[in-house]
Amino acid sequence: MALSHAAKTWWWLVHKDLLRELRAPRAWPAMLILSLALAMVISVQIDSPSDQHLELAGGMFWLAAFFAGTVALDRSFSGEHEQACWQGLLLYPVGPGTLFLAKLAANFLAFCALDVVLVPAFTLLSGVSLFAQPGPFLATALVANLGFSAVGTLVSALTSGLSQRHGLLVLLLFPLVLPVVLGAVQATRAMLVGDFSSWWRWIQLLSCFAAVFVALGTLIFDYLVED
Amino acid sequence: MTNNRQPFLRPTAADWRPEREAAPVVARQLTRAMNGRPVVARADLAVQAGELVALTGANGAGKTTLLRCLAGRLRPTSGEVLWFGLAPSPASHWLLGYAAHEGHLYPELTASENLLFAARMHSLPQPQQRVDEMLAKTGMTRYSGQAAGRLSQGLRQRLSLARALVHDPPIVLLDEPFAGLDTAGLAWLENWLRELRTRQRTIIFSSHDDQQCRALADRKLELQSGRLQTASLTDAYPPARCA
Repeated sequence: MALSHAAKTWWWLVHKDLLRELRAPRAWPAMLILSLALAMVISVQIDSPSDQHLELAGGMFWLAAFFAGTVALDRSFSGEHEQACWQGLLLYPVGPGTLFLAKLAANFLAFCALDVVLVPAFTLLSGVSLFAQPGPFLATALVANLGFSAVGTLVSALTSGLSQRHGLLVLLLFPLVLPVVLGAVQATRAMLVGDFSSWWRWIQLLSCFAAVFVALGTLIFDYLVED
Repeated sequence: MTNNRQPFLRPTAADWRPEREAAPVVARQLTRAMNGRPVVARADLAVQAGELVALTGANGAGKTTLLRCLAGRLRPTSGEVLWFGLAPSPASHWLLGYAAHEGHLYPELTASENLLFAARMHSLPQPQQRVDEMLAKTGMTRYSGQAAGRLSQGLRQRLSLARALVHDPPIVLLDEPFAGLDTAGLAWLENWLRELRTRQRTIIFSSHDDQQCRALADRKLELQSGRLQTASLTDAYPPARCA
C-alpha cells in the first residue's frame, strides 16, 4: 500500500512538472535551442578529415547535450521556489525519496526530448549517423541520461536555495558528471567504430554510476532539502 | 492515536479520533536561532483539539518562524515539537494543514488543478469531488479554470487556504490568513475557522489585527523578541472557551 501510494504520488509529481512546462515553457525551449546552437558551432569549428568523424562524433554530441541539459537542471528546482511551492511540496505526506525520483524523472524526460531533437540535427551537421545502430545508441543514451539526471538533480537540489545557484550548479555539476560524459563519449565512439566489447564495458560503467547516484539521491535527499 | 499509522498513508476522516491524552500541538522549550540569534527562544506551548489560538507580535517578532517550526518545516535549534505526542515526519504530514504567506500555489496551473494536485498528494479517495467541494466552500467555483497566477490577491489567498485544508487536517496552522481578503472574505474565513473549531480542529493563526484575535480566538499568544507570552483577551471580548 505504501509503495502504491509512493508510486501514485511520484506519477502526479512528474505529471505536475510536465504540465507546468507545457503551460509555461521555461526550460525545454531554451535547452533545445542551446543544444542546436552548440551542435552547429562544434560541427563547424572541428575541422578534421571525414574518416576521423566517427571518432569525434560522440564527444561532440554529448558535449552539446550535457551543456544544454544544465538549463533544464537549473530550472527544475528554481521553478519550485516561486511562491514557495517547494515548501508546500515538503509539507505533503510524501517521502523525500519520492520527491527526488519525481524530479529525476522530469529531468530524464527533458534529456530524452533533447536527444530526440539533437540526434537528427547532429546527423545532418556532422554527417555521422548516430542512429545507425539504434539499439546500442538507445542503451547508451538511456544510461547516460539517467546518470546525468541523477547527479544533476542532486546538485540542483543542493544549490537551489542559494543566491549564486547558477554558477554553483555548473561548478559542482561538471566535476561530478565527468564519469558520465567520459562514459557516454567512449561508449558512443566504440559503438560507431564497431568495437562492441569496449562499448559494453562503458555501458556497464555508466549503469553502475547511474545506479549509485539514483540510490544515493533517494537516501540523502532529505538532508539536501532541509531548511 | 487510534488510527492505523502506516507510513505515508492517511486514514479516512471516519477513522480519525483525536486522542485526549496527547495535545495535538506541543512545543517544549522550542528555540530556533538564525545566524546565531534566537528568533524564537524557549517557547512552551500546548494547544488542544477544538482550540483556536491567535499568535500576535510585531513584524520580525518570529511568528512565521514559530509557525514553521510547529509545522515541522524548520528544525528547532533546541527543544521539540510534537503532534499528538509524536515528532513530525513526512509520514505524519497528513495531520497538518499549513497556509503560508506565499500561497504555495503553482501560477501556471488552474485553481482546480492546484487543489487537485494537493488532493492527490494526500491520496484522497475521491480527489475531484473533494476539489469541487472546496471550490464551492471558498466561493471559487467560477474561477476554477483560471490560472492561479492570474487570480487577484484575495482569491489567491482563498485558494491557498483551500489547498492547505483540502484534506481536512486535524491541525491547522495559518500564517496571516486574513491578509488580502476583502470584507466578505474576512467574514467567510471567520465562519470557516469557527466551523473548524466546532469540528475539534486545532487552529493556530498569526495576525496583526487585535480585533480579529479577540473576536475569534480562545487564547492569544504574543511573541516579543522571540519570547512567547500569553496575552489577555480583554473583558469586552471574552474568549469563547479557555483550554
